[in-house]
Amino acid sequence: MILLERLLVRQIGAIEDVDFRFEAMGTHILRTSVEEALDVREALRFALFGDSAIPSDRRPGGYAAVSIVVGGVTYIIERLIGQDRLITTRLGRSGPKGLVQIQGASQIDRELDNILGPNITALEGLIWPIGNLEKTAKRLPDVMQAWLGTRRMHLLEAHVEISQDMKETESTAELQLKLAETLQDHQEKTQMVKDLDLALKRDRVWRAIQQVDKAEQLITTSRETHGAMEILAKQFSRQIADATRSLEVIQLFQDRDQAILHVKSAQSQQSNHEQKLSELHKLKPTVSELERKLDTLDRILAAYKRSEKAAESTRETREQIASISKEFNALETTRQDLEIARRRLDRLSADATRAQTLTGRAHEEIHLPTAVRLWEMWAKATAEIDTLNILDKQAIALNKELHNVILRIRDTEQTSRTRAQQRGLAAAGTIVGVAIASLGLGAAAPLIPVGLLVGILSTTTGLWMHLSQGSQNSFRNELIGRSSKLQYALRKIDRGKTSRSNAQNSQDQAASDLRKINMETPTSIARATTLRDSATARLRQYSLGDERRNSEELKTASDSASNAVKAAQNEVLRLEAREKALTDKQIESQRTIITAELKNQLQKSAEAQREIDHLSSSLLIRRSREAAQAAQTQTKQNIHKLRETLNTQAELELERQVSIRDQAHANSEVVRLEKIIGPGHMQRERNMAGESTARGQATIMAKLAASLAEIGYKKSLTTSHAASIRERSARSALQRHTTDLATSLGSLGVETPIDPTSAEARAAVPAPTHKPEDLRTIRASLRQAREAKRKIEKQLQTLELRTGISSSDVNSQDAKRRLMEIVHARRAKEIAGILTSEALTRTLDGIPAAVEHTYRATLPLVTSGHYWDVRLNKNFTVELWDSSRTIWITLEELDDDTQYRAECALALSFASAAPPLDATDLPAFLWLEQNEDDHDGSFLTALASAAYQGEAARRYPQLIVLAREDMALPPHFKYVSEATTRTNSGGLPSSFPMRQAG
Amino acid sequence: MPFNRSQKLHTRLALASGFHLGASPSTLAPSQHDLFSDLCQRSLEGAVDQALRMRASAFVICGGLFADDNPSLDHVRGAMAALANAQRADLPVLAAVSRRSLRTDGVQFLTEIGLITHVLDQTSQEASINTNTGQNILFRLGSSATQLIEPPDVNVGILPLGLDATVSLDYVRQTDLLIDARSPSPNFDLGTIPSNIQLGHAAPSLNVEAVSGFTVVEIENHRASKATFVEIEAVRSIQIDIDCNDLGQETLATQINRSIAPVLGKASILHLVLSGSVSRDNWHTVNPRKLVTAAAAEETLVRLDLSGLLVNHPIAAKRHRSSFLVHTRRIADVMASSTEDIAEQRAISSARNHVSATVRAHDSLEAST
Repeated sequence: MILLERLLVRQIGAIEDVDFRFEAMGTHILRTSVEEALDVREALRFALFGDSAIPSDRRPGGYAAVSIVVGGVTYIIERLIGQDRLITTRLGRSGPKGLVQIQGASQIDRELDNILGPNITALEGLIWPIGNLEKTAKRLPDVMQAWLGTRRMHLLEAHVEISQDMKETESTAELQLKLAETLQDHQEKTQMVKDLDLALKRDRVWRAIQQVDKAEQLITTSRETHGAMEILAKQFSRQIADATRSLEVIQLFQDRDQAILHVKSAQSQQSNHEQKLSELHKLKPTVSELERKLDTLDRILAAYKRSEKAAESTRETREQIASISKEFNALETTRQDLEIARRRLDRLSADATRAQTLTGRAHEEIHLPTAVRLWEMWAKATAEIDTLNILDKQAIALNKELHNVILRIRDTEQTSRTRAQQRGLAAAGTIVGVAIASLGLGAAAPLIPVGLLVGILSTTTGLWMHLSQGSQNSFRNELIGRSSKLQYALRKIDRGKTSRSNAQNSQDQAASDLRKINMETPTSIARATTLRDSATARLRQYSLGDERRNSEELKTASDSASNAVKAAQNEVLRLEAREKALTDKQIESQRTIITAELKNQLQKSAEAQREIDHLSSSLLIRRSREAAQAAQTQTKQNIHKLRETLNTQAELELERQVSIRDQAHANSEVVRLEKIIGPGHMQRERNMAGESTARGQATIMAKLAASLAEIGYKKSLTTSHAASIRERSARSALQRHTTDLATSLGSLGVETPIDPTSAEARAAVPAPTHKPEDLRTIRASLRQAREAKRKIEKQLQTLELRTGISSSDVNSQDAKRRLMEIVHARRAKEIAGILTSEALTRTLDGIPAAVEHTYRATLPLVTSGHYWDVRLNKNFTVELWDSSRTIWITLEELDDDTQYRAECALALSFASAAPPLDATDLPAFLWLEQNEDDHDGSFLTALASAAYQGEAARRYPQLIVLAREDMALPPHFKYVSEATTRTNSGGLPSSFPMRQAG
Repeated sequence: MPFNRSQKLHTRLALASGFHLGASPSTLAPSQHDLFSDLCQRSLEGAVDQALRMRASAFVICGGLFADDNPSLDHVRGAMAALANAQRADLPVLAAVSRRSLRTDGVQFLTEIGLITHVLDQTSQEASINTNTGQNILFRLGSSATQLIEPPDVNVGILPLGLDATVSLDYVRQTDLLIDARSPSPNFDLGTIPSNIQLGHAAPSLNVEAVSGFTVVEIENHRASKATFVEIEAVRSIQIDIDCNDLGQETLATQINRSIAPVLGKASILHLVLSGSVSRDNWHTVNPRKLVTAAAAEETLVRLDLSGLLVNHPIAAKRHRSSFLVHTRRIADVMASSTEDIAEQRAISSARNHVSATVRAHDSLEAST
């Protein structure tokens, strides 16, 4: 926080000598003129920034000193313009022992850089925000760094920067660690190869031992198997013999049973033949009965045929009657249709007539407007022609009058010329009279009266003639005027004549058009007017609501009506012809004859039916032709079967004799077989008499035992043979495995006899503690381990060359620890860089919102409560809320005064809210001046009031307001102190503050 | 001039400043100007009335009475009406004004018609007033104490506007009572008797924390015994706080209207302090311009304090100025919470500490230079 303590100015601008002192908090009103305010500001800038803000006049002897308090330390800066116009700067800093003057220009510059920073714009924008916002906002990132402390931020940047040395150190440490790790890998791989090799050899020994054991075990097993199988084969051969004998006895019993069956069969056939013969004797009366029934059925069927024939005739007759009835009905229908068609023809004729009438009327309606126009045109043209005819008559009259007028003008001119001659004679007479009178006066007195008389007469005559000539002239003028009027009238009539042809054409055209549309052509204007008025009235009726129909539609309706009439006429003609044809056929007499035939056939059919009923009831069968036919067929079949049965009587007798012979043969065969079986088996057979299933089971068991015994016998022989072969193979394998075992033991370095036994090998090589791996796996692992070892050896050599360190000199733990430290340091720098960058970005991003918040509270104070909301984007583009119009407006849309006020308030809000809280060494004094246009200081007062409260008051404890002397103070300011450039100049010490302190 | 009313050498002075009659502050809406002018008038009347009720010996007006150099006749009439009460009650009224103010302000006119009984020139060296009870009260208005003719019983020094702090120190040493007319403040400590009495401000207050009033000083047995700040009741202000975070279903406009309705027309000045977060649409429903105009029509001067109001700011932290270190801490916390690698967390902590140490290293940096 930089507070202003004192400002001392001499000989800068209009100021000769002034000393301002400022309290640490409060509002300071400096009473100055506008010009002096500028000089004071210039002096303060000069005192603070020196060469960068030299006063414009650079007057020799110009002096500005400022005392500021920065972080509790007082600094006094003095700037003096020498006679050579060079700037001398002195700087003092308060310490425990009083003021200490900093010596040396570079020391002073460095100290001032530490206090104020190198960025003047950033500092100025906070002391004099009005007018400085734009350039501050444009360079906001730089300004932000200046606010936070340029030197500190540079230190931070230097700290977060990762140097090339650091990268190389990290790279070297990584290589060393890699070297150590590679060495360790190499050692591990070497040991692994050794272990795998030993394991492989041991595995071979143990596999050989196992093979020897297996071979010995196989020999023993094969020998035992061979002996057992031979014994088993002998037992199986005995079982086969027993089973064969049992099967033979069973076969004999089966033959005996077959013979007994033959005896029983012959006995049953004999009894059967005898029973059939007795039944044949009983069938003969039944055959005669059936033959009688068959005759009756034949009669019934004949009656059915007759009845059917009568029914067929009846059906045909009825069909004829139906056909005649149809024709009769058709005749009636035709007559009715004819009546309807005639009525329809009448109606359609009426419709057609009406449609024609409507069509004609519609035609008229359609052409009515045209006709009205044409009738009117015709009437006008005719009227015009009549008028022109009248004009012709007038023209003739006017021509006559014009001719008369011209003649009269000529007469008048002739008279005028005569009178002019007469006036000349009168003048001559007057002259003569005067001459005579003069002569009389001079020579002869009597001539005087004569002369006077002549003169008077002549003069009188001349005067009369002159007067007469005047009236003549006026008459002539009237005639000429009349002549002009007549000529004008005639020209008009001539022009009217040219329109006659137009009128005639119009009349002809109207007549032609009327004929075209088939409307009446009038013969007089009155008729045309009557037609036009009548049509107009009709059109008016239409316009008042009459429905008009399209003429095309009506024409179509008329045509269709005509067509319908024609169709109806044709239909009537067709129906009349049909009626005539039907009448000519004499249908009614034919109908009577056919009806009599029908009655006859019906009687025949009834008789046949009665006979059928009688016979059917006698036979007790159903009364129908199908039942009779079925009974006839059944009866015929029964008779045929009975006759065939009677014909087999001789054959049955013969067959009975053959059965008796077969029975005797079968008894002798049974006796023979019992003898062959023997009494023992027969006794057993008798004991198990009736148990036929037991004999079947015994047969099956005997067959099964025989089969199994045979299979077992063959299998025993095969197994025995295989066991002897296996024994021989095992013996040869044992010999081979013993040799392998001897070789494997030799590779392990164990001394053994040529053919070692497995027990000897086990004694020499201890058994493995775990289950041995697959040999292929061990071999693959060994191969991979050897390859890896070779690669690691190469890497090791490469790394030793790159690091220049022997692998034996590297400690893995140390290398790892060193690398972790370096990585940690580098990562900390990277993170610090991210933190710095992100924090700066967020700090900058937070500025618009903070400024907007402060601006919202400030804006109503400087705009007299007109605007209460504001919107600020990241570019500090401002929009104000116009509550009266409920729209957002930009500053450019405001009037000049309001725009200036809003911009100043924005600058003040920015200076108050934009600097971050961490920026502790920023100016805490705000410098406001009265603008030239702010005559009553109202705006300065408003701005000071805004700076006096809220965020601005917290940000700026020192408020310095430069106002004119006549400006009224705003009420309720705290700690107001006033100073003027005049009153302060007198009583202040003239020495430098530095000297006082020193 | 005699103005003491006590036979026991007891004098009570009512000291007031900053009436600003006729002022129309530009920070107010045009619709409030007449009302404010009226309140200034009421403030003077109220101060005189309260001084009379407190049986003051004199009413001293420090500084100008009017806001403008050439006050309008209406404002002068208003002052006349207020001071006429004092005249009727035989309360002497003194005015300590500058020479320029005396020349241009209406004070001279009021003096001529006898409403102001005595005028003290702020720019003169001294002005002595003798009482008929033997107690002399000297209003010292100069800069040099050595020019005093005789030591007074009680010295009352008035520090006029324009004097610096160095000069004021001499006054403090050599006067019994120092009245500082330079910077009015209501923050008055009633427990002790200050040597430097601050007068307060009598004009209607436009700030929330400011109170309009005047100071009453008791002078007894030649010594100032007690100083009391008295608030002017006629222009007493009311403060209503509305927290926008507790609006519930109501709009801000409804809440404001409901809150201020009971005091409209009853309170002279109403300070409406808005705080909390509110949406922009909700804020626009308020239309403060209409609000102050409507309140002015009801004879209440409404002042809105928006310094605590957040419009369309979802994050409360944005209300205040940004902080580089706070952002650094937050970013570091986020980074540390997003990883479980101990080494990375150590690096983050180390980086954060280093950034903080560098940014805060003001003292060490300065010391190193």
